[in-house]
Amino acid sequence: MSQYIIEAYEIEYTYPDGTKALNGLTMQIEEGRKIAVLGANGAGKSTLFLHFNGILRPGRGQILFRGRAVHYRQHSLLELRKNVGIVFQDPDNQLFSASVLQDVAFGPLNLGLDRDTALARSRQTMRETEIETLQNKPTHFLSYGQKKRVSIAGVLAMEPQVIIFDEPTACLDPRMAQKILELLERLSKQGKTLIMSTHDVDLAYSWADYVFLIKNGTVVGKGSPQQVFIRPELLHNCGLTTPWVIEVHRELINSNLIVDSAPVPKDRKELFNLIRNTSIGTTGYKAAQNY
Amino acid sequence: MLLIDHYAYNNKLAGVHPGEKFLFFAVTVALCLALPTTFTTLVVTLLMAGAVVFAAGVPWRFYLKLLLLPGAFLAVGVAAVAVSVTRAPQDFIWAIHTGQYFAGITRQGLDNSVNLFLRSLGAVSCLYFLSLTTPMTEIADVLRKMRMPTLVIELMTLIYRFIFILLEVTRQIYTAQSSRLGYKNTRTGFNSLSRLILSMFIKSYRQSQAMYDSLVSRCYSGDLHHLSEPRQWCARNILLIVTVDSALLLCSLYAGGLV
Repeated sequence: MSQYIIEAYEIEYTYPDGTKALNGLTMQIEEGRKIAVLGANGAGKSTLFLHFNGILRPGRGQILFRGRAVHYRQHSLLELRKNVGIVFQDPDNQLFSASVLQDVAFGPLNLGLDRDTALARSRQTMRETEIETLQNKPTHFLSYGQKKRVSIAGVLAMEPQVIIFDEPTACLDPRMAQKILELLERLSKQGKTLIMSTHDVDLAYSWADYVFLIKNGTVVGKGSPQQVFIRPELLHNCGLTTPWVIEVHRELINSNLIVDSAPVPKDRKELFNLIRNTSIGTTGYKAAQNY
Repeated sequence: MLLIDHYAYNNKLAGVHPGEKFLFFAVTVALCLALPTTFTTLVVTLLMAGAVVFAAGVPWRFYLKLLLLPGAFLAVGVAAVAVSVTRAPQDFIWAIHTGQYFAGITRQGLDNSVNLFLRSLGAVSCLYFLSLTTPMTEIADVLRKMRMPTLVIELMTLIYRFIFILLEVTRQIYTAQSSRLGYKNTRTGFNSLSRLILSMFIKSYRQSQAMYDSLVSRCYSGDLHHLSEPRQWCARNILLIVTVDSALLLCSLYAGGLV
């Protein structure tokens, strides 16, 4: 009955050192969407993700996968981890193998696939992530961007339905970040549910189709990016800022350069189109041409 | 250290079946240790140097530097063997006399130490041959085929991976410390070093936790699964190894006066 693929209800988690990381957090994630989870450092994003994968068990509350509560028994955990993959922020924490192919094939082999299927799958994902030329390289020879792609491939090769990316573009150069985003776009088209944590409000605004804001271990705001990001006080409260697209749009309206009713643009391209189509400058330019 | 690894992956023998290289290593090192005549050990040292420099294409300067590393250890160890301390005077070549003790070098002690030195050098050369031509993953592979316990091999794999992570972290911390004058003199140097070691412990502990989490998230259940590239044994290489080592064996027996 539920179209939610992952649900978390009132979960609380306290680390052994007494830090309360999650504080009655409730979150429902719809299948097939692109979800951004935003929050300041230490807001509880990474802790939450470890719950979605069953690595941490909530002190109170419940995690549901496809409407069924996760039982922390071996079988149930394997089922969850098979379907929900996490790409960790620091690839060095994820790559343990000496060679790239071995690392990518680790997950598929753990799923109990036979060698040939596991290898075929690994090679396929390595092609998708454009790392097939690295397959026999040792992981310590790779650049940060390459390591990142290998760690993504290692998760994709397990063919999970939900993929969690913890700060996928952090520390990457713009071109590599762009490549990762293109990969995410392809995955989304394949129907995967993507969850991304980020501090990059501009990225979250244009990429996501649903956004959660987290503060002190609870959800303090949620909705479509157009709903969430037009609330500066909420963003400020979470240690975030307004995306530049929205700021420019607001400024254009305030300066009477575009009409009040102009829809809030989704990204850079929409904003530029808006400027081209409605601004006085365009009319003036066109008039000059006609003249 | 890292260069060894670089050459292990990038040498002219990288495509050769690891089993063949292991066979060559194992037989030669066994000969070197079992028949420790001066002739055998010298030939083994030269043979391995030739294999590393000419066959594998490792620059000879680098190889020489590598040999100097254990060379220093060996020199110290060998000096201890060469010098003998006795009460009664022996046929010393050179000796000093303090109280009722004599410390000096005898003919036999000298022979022993030279022999030990050459023998160790030969064995080290063999090890260098293996580590400069064969990546760790392939050595682990050969060991696994030889039925080495999985636990040992997985430990090897993880330790190998962590060496690089720890080296990298050490380098970063060291740079951060030096940029704030952490090593401007001996005193601050020792202070910084102690902090570096402390933070290495903490970092490696954290990192191992994080790595375990990420392994578990990919359904880790106690097995790291080794994949080996299927490689063809090359009859010509095996023949070459057998010929070279047989020749070495015969010559050694002859030189040792056993034939």
